Amino acid sequence: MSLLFPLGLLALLSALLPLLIHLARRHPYTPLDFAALRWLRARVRPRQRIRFDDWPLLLVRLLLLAALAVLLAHPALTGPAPAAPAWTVVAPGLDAKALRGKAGTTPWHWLAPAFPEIDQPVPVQTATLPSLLRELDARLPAGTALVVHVPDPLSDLDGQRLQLSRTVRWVPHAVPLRAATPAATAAPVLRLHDGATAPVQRWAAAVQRAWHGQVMPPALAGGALPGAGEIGVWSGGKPLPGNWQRWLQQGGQVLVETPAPATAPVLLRAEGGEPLLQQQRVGRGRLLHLVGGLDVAVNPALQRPDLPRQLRIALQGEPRARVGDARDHAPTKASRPAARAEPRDIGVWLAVLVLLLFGVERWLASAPQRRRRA
Amino acid sequence: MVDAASLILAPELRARLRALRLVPRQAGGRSGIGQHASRSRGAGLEFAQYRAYEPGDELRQIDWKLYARSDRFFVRESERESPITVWLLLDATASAAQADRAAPSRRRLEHMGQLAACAVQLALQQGDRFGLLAISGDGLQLVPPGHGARQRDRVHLQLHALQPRGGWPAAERLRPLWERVRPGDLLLAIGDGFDEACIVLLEQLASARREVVLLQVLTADERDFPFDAGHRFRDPETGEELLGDGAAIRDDYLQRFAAARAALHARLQAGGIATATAWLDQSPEVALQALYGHGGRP
Repeated sequence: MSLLFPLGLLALLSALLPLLIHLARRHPYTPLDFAALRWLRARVRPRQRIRFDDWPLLLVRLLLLAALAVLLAHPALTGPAPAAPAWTVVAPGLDAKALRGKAGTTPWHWLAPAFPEIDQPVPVQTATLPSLLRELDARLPAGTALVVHVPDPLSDLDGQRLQLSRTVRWVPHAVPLRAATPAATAAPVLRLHDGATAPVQRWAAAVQRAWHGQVMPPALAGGALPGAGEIGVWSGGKPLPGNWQRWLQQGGQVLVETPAPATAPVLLRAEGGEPLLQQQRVGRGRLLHLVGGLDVAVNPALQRPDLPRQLRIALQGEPRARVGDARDHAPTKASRPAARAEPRDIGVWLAVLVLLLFGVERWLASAPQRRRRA
Repeated sequence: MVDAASLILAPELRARLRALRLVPRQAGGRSGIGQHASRSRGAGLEFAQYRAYEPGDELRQIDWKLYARSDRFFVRESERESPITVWLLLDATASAAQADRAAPSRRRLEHMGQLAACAVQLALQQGDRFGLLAISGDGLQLVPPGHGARQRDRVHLQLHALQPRGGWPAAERLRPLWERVRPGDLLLAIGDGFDEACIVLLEQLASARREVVLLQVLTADERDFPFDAGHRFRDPETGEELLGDGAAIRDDYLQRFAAARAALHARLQAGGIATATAWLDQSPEVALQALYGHGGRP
């Protein structure tokens, strides 16, 4: 319990008001006929005793003022919230209603942004499952149990195993993997320029086949440009023609065999450690230098059996494992900083209390016996 | 104004009064036949004495049995019983308006009126004459003495019209009282006895051979002083006020009041005035019982 506006407690000083009014009342001494006055001797003046008449009314009035002061101070509960009922989330793709069956009255939610209840239609998945789980973990108050139903081959994984601040009941459900996810990025396509030598064509075709298992598209005719996403291959020491230069500037990729400037970063090294593929940024595109030329006879580094794979990794980065066994990806519990519980406002309850006290005060103040006395 | 209901005596009160008699201490000497001892001897019921026959005595007064025994003529004399005049003197000054806090409707005046009604009833039973002297700030209101039920109604009417007002009047205004109340009359003063002038008047009347009795009517508040909180006490006659804390001044007051009552009693006794106290929370006949109970003389 804390106060969001502790200065509001200064209003407690107002409690002095009814007290002072009560005590500062002039006690009316009604004249009392007393014929034997001559035998009275009043050397003692009437003592001003602190006397509380109507103390229930006074008490209620003080309580009312105190409640108002506390209301001004905006009290809020900060302690751990009362243990919320366990949360059950179901990853989209599972039949949540069938899973819930008839048992359980606690609401089930989709593991989707905003965590709608499962009575609502299956939401469109825009975030990955681990990200949603982390968000949910951060949002739920500490101590709330969490049950997660996931499909068994788990897709959309990210590189790290999930770490959450709580132990999670992880319920995998075997689900047939749907048609190969297009997630794997398509391998690049090499496009040779018109007039490449036969060894270069052969090597390029071999690499292409190793990547795609398909025949390489025909060489570009005349001054044609490679398509978007394709890597143009410009063999020979001749400089790039103007339209190729512009295409490169606008984001194209061109593989050349001219030596690269010394500062160019190395993407791939030969077995001996010397650079094999270097990259140079040109405009928005990149110029790839294959050190040693594209001729296999001249450049023995091109004869490496794993070159196509290495080359592809160098060009596109390591393909990540995005599908995995759900049991292996059960979240582990990590001591993360506990989510700070949001202070819960209890102003409404206080307002109700104030109203109640006001009612009692009015009732006491207008009690028939009090009216009679007045 | 005395409540008419308090003047009508309850049957049981009337029954208790029947056992009482208003008896003066000194024998009166009036003519007529009444219930009171008189100094005149003669024919009557109560035997007084024998005396030697004198010429002129009626022959039927001679006690013939005694003559047979003694061979002399003796005349048998009885006491003649005569009526007296009972005067009711009411002190209806402003202090008579005081009432107990516990019973605000019953003022001292009501109690005095009821005592007067009791005394009227007694006088009526005895065939005595009775009159009323009501003294208030306005002076003296007087009902001349008389007999019978109509006289009682006259007295009641006067009592009913009585208003407590003012202080004790000056002595000149009370002069008619001296003309009316004759020596030997019974004067029953009913009042609080707080006025010095009243006591002086009673003493003068007593020393002038009037049979004076004071019924001091006091409130229970004056006896118990049940005030705890602060009060503004006010003397109704002088208007003097006094602010005091009830609990703090009670002991002192009770002591002084008791001493004053004792002193007053001693003084009245010395002046030959019988006295009794009637408390407002007691039945009125209790005080009369104290004065005239046990079949007789105070």
